[in-house]
Amino acid sequence: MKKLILTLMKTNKIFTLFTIIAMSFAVTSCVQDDDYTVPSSLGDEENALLNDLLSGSAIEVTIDQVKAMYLVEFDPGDNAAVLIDEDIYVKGYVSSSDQTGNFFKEFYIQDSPTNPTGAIKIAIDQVDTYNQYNLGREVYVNLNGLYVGEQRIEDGVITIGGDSETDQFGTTVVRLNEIQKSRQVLRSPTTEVMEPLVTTFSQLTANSVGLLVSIENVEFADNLAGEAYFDPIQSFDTQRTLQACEGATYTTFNLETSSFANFKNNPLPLGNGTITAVVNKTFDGSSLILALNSPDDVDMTNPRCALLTPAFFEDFQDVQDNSNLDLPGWVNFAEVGGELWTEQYFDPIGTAEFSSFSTGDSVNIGWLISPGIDMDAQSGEILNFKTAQHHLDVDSEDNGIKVFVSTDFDGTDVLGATWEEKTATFPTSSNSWYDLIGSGPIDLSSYTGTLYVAFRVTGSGTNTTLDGAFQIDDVSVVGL
Amino acid sequence: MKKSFFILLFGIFTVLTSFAQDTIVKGSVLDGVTGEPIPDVTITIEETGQVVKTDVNGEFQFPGIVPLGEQVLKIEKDGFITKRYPIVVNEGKTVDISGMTLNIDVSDSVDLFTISLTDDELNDDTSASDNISGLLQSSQDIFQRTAAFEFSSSFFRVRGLDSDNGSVLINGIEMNKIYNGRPQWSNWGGLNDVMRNQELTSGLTPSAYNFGGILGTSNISTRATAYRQGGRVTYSSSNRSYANRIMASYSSGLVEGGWAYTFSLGRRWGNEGFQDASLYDSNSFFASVEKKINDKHSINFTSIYAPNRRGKSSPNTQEVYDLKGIKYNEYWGYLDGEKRNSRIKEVEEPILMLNHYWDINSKTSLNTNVGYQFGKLGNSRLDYSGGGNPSPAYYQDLPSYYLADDDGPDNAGAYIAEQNFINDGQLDWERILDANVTNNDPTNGGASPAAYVLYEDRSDDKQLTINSILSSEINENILLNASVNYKRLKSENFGEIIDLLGSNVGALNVDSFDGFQYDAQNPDRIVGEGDKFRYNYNLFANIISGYAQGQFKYNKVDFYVSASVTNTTYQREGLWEHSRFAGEESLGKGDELTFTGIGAKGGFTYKITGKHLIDVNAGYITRAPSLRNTFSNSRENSSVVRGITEEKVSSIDASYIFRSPIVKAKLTGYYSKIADANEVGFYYADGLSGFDIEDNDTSAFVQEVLQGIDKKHIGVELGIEAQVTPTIKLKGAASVGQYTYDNNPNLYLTSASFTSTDGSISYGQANLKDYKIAGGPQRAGSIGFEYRDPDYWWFGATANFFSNAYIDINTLTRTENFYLDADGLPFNDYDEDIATGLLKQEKIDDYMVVNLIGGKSWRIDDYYIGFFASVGNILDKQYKTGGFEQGRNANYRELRDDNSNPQRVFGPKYWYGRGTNYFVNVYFRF
Repeated sequence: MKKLILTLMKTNKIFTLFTIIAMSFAVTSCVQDDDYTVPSSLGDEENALLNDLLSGSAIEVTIDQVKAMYLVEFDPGDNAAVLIDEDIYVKGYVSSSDQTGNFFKEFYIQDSPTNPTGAIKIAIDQVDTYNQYNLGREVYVNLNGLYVGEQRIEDGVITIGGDSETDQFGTTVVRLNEIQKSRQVLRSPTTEVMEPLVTTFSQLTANSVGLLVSIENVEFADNLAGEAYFDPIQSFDTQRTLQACEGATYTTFNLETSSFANFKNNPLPLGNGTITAVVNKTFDGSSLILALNSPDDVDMTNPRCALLTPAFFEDFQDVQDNSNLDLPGWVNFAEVGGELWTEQYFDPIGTAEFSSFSTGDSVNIGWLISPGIDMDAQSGEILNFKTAQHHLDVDSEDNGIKVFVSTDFDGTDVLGATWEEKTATFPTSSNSWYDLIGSGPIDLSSYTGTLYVAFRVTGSGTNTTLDGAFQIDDVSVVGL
Repeated sequence: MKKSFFILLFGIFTVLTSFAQDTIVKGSVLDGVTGEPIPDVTITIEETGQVVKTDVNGEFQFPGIVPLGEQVLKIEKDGFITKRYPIVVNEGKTVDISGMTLNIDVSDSVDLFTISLTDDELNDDTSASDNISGLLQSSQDIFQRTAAFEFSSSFFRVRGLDSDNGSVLINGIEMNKIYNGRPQWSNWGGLNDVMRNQELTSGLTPSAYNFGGILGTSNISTRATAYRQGGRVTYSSSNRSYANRIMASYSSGLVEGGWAYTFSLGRRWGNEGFQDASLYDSNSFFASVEKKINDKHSINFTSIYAPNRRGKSSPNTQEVYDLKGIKYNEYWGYLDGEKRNSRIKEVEEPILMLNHYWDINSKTSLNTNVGYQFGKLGNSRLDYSGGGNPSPAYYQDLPSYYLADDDGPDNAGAYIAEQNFINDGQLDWERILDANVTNNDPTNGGASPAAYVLYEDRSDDKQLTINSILSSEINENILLNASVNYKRLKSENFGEIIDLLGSNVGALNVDSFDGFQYDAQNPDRIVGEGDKFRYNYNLFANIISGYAQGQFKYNKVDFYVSASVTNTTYQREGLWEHSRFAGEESLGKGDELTFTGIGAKGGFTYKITGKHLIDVNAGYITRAPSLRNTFSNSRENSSVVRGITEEKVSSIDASYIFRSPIVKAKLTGYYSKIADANEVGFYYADGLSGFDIEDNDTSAFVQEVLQGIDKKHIGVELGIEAQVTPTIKLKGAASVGQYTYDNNPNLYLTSASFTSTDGSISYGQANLKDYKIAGGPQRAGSIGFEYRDPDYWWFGATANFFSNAYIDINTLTRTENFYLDADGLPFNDYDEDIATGLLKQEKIDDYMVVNLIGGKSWRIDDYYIGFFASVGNILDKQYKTGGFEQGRNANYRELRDDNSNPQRVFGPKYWYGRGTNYFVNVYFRF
């Protein structure tokens, strides 16, 4: 061994050479390394674009103004996506998230992170938008050159798109492409805390589409115990009924979950509580639904709610389709024109309906008055009912519905009684046809004696913009 | 019958030549410049073909019978110019020819310093890139040399065989990986100076070290005493794989006290090779120390450490190549102004070896070796569980996707996609990092896990090998070789996150595709850098083998017989429970599998005269399948390929060899058959039939298992060289083969997305018979010349022709899945004529590649300076070297529809060969 070392020392020169080479290795090691630190320039380009937009001549418009650029026509073929050729932009806060797969190549922005009043969809050719346009992110859309319209004709979901395409049904918007996205859908560095709009099922309208809302005291329908968000029998989406106890009846609303949602196999919660979700529409636009951003937004751990035993209840299930309403105890009275309330049955729902369509009368006013309700047998009475509209074109006194109560009605003389109007939630023209929405609770606790509830509809049989029909259902009075 | 044949042969040759028992031919060989003895020189008596090698002192002696009269001794060693010495042998006299000199071959750098494919680290998991050229580089055979140096860049495979049919040994220890049976060349890359003592036995011919496969065995000796005293420093520059290489080595020779040592250092690096962003970063360290204890015992210790990082490049569809050119690589993108490749292969597997050489007597030696190899092999890639597919060549981002729109071609979309891809078309690292930074925002609902992470598929092996190799000359004619071998492998396999790419949360250890927990006992775990991810299991292998062999050498005929037996056991141990395969299906130790392999081979060389020889070999081998092809879905469960059994390999070849002073030629015919093989592959399949797929889907990420494959390899090889003048040599080589599937193996798929109990769906037979096996051209030819000027300069040129290369077929489309609708009945629009057209295997265009090479060396006192350069593909021919059908579109309708698109969306992916490329090398030798 000693000899080896001696020999090694003799070859000192060689080792010097090796050392030089080894050092030169270190110097020349300029191959890319493993370090992926976030470059400080990240986002600079986008910030520059946003600064250019804000400091330029472009004018900010509101979401409502953008939506107003596109008018939904009811005659097929009249709808056309609108090219925006003005130097305008819109600002909003992202209200939907595709992180769980429940939204696809789209997101909504609403006009404010708190108490929003409107939202609009942005259709974009990008999956997993959540990791760029995250929930609460302040987003500016440079609208110049983009389109506003619908992705599916007459679905009523107003959308910003990158182009338009036309088929026999009309002209729709198509998704923004990658280049439009990166140049025109610009983020600010701000992400706001989103405070969901606390509301009720009854208050959701077409104008609510895209808003992040919270509904309290709700639960999944009784027959859904043990089911999951998604029903494997279905191909694309599953609707699960949510219900809220409203007096003697439930008001209901559907939660829709995509087959691509990663929580689709999670079991539905059994309790009652709060759901926070985005208001959306079914694929065909026929009805409003809620769509979850995340299953974590469902907090239903309280005991389920109980319906109250009603002092009065009528669900119009015992009706003869298309006959004049003649249920026992009910008064059916035409104040103007000859049209009476009718019974309607569209399996499995029976309703009472007043329609002035094609009556030939220039004005129709029809009253439907409940049987007398004993207000002394209980206290704290609350009135609930549901109303739907169809073919309602405008929201006008001349084609509307009102609810009244009276304690001095004698059972026959409608116009001679004292009718006190009550405030309730009624459908507007922006609601889907035949969608029964809850009235909200109406306090009747101050009344005693015998009380009558009256529904009065005004319409026209000659003016086709005033011939919308109204249906009522599930009229109940509950007390303590 | 055979016996009488040999007796007959004996009878013939004894008539032709006189022999004498007590006559001795001995001598020594020295370096013509330094006068140092040269060990390991091959000395051949040309007439009889008797061969001996020089020992450490450069001395040799022919044992036993030598022919009388005027004889020619051929003295050759790799790296030196071969010499022929005439001698006269008289009966009873000793012929002592000490002091023969050999001069260094100034063109030796060709062999040692050309970059062949082994440098490229193309050993991805793709069959087309598997290559045997590293095995053949030390060959003296003209055909094999041509295959190694001229054909390899075309992915040519000798006899169409996978490299797992050949063994690479270092000091008698097999270096082929147990996982796939292939040598991991990069483990000793960049150490060319010290890896030059190679001994190749090709094909079935007997090796003194092991039984071997049907392609042969190459043993690399790193004995410190076997190196020529001196050193060498080399610098190379190239645009092929690395840009720069420096190497330095020094050998002491045998010094006082019986010590010898050798060191070598190498570094190869470059930001990109021929393909964009294919970075290369490799350091190599080598040390070998030998202590000659006495005349009988010697101990050598070797350590090799060659960490290597290599940026991979992608196979691409023709659409992509048309838009971006043949250097295009989809795996990289710019980050902070630098090209960053997302797929890096990193190998760091040091080797330690202790070898004991024991010359029991002058006739018998016993060589005992202990080898230990450990370290890591990693392949990085992007995980995009929370984001869109980041691949810039993702099919939905290419023009073909828009042109294939169901509503008719979307030309505007296609144009935008095209412009986008041409102008950018690389990974968008900024978007990837931005996604993770965005997900870090805790404002609404808390921060989200990383959308993208960079992780590595890791195999961390620890392998111990112990063997003893006996070599004994029973008498002048009989040489006996035998060995016993023990190998033990523990292979830890797991994914590991190497970079969170800006996420400060971590990654969710859940399958984002179908929600399964990778680690069900730690559900929904958030994992960070350095944490294991996706899968985690061990594989164990124990292999005990032995072989015995007799080589019989007579003047007119040499023959050998050899037999081996191997016992192999495999076991998987799941460290995580996969929620789809609960309990023992995925967790804990699975069944232990045992395979028994036997081998038998024999052959003879009959020397009709010294000029004309006939060589015949035949063998039959059964062997355990590789680990890779044993477990059907090892990342997720312990399932074993159904009906697994030993592979059966049979092979026969016959050669005619012609040797004259001017012309050397060899013509070989061969036939090999591999039976009962399995292949496990994985990909994303689209267009599956059957009711057993989650959510009634028709697509899933699947493991494809082909069981009981038979393959047939048949063909002829020719090598010829002619020394037409002392300075000009003409060379030619050709291989004409046909490599086909020889049966219709069964195919089944397994996937976590399948709802059947064991997660598999059977598709019955895959009609593969007579389909060509992919992997390089089945026909190749080469002609060329070399000019060697006496003034130490030389040049050469070759033209190489390739044809009959085929792309790899998607076997699933050759099963009933192809024509069955989801209900299990045939498609009602199935048209057999169209189907035949769709399933026709694509043949790659023929092509020719011209290579030039030249060099010069200078001698200054005792030093040499050498220079050489080569230019590959000087005509800049663009050619495909291979390809494969994509796993998508697994049924008739989808494939038909895709084919009728203006541009196929899921067309085959190809590899292209390099355009014109160069390699320049200078060295200084002392």
